[in-house]
Amino acid sequence: MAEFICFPALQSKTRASLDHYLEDGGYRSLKQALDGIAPADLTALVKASGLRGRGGAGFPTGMKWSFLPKQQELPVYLVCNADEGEPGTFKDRDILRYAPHQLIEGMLLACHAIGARVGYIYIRGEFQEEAACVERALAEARGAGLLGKDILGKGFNADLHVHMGAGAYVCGEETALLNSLEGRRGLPRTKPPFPAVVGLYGCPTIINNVETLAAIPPIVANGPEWYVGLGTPKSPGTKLFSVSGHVKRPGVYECRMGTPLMDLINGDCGGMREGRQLKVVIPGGSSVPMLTAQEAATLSLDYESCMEHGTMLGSGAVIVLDDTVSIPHLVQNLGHFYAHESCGQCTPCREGTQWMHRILDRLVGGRGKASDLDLLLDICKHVSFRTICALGDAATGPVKSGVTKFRSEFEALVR
Amino acid sequence: MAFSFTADEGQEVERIRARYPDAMSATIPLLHLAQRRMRWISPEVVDEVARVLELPRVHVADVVSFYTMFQRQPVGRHLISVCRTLSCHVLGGREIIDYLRQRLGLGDAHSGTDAAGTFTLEQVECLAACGSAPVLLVDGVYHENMSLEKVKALLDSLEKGASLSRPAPGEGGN
Repeated sequence: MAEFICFPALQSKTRASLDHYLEDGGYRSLKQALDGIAPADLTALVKASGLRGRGGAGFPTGMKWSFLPKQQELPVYLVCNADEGEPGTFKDRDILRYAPHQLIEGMLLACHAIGARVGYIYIRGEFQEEAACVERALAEARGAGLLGKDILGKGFNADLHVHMGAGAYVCGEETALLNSLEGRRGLPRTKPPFPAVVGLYGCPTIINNVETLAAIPPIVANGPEWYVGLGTPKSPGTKLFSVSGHVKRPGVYECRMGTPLMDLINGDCGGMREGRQLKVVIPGGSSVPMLTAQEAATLSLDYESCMEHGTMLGSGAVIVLDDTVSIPHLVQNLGHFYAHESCGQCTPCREGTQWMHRILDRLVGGRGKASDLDLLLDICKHVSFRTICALGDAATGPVKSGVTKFRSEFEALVR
Repeated sequence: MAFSFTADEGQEVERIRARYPDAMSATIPLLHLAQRRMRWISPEVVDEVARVLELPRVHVADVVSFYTMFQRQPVGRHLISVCRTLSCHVLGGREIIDYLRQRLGLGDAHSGTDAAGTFTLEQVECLAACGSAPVLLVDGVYHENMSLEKVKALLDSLEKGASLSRPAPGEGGN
């Protein structure tokens, strides 16, 4: 069952102000770190906690930080990725509006660890109210000496700014986000060089997801062993899950890593709608391979179980669908999404997503051919891992898994 | 129609520029600032943003063309942006879109403005509020857990000139 351990403010939804956060023990981790945790030790602490990137890639956070050049003259930047956009994902939104100070404290801890003096919070353009919540929290923090110059009287300077996006899924990709933040089109950059070496304005830059950064204050407060103990050996800690679709109680839930998926669906979420059966689950956002009800029955919510089931934990966006859903319609819907969101920079993705979208349209519209099924799978092969960023590969996730696992539904369209 | 930032907006422009070591970073924020008042990005807005930031006009036009929130044509009195992605789609979003297309008399078009210029419909991708699907924005404000009945009532009241109450920040319209 879900329990709010690292993100208590997401349960109450009423404790976003600085006063509430301080009452709940807020900014103690920052004080503790500025009092006596050296930057390298803080990075080591985050490494020891096993915290992994919660935006989707699951890359170990402490390791990412340690990729910064050890000696260099350029300023270091911290960027918070709040461009939440992976279909099915809406957890960062709750942190922005219900726990903005926890995010700010996490960012200040990260600034201390990586030596950044300026941080940007890149928030998707539609999140106007959420950005207002963060701006208000930043103003409160500034007024209380928790942000800006000489923070807490410890001689530590760091400032944070909100930057709004303007509608482009691809900007959630970290290098596209950097281009967007620099005022350009959001086109992903080739890696290497990685942002830790050449990032924002050509300077070393660390980009972390909202949930990742907000998880740091409780990790510092309780110690890395505590965090490790909350999860499984290979997937430490807790994770926020955004559950949507045909369950009775959709929403954001915090679960210990390793929680059985069906406990979340049938427990916290109240099970399926009345009289309906589970048909398919997309466990980590629209890009990850879907699972049949039978496969979902044995999945636990952690990185290794997802891998064993041939899918990914991704951003923790659990899309639960019942037997009213036609899989070809589902795949067509997501096919449109990826064709619309491809930035057009790489030919395999630009052309591949467009063609998959057109073929899915004609299949669902009753104008398809029997050969279209294998044609779709063939296109997937030519898009996957042949592009600068992961969007092309993401586009193949629903197509490959849908056509393979529910082939008879597609065949019924061309009979 | 000529466009220039007002004196108040000019102060905001300075505050925005001060956040970045490079003026180009202010491109998107200034376009948002202009669109807040003008409701779309006219060629004159592009000219002004390019002038203020001392950037080539083609750079600003290029950025405008990439991001879907920048309207490149005038919109009606109210802009309705309906999510068309999966979770909304299977929970009534598709029916809401069909209803709006019919009510606005858009024929086969996916999006557009009604003859009276009251409403513009656009279909948008995931708005990151899937737990309260189906979701739409009216003039940028989230309306969640929608139904056909709620959409009808909402448009009726907007048509009569009702102004929308923005949800209190932190409550997100739930």
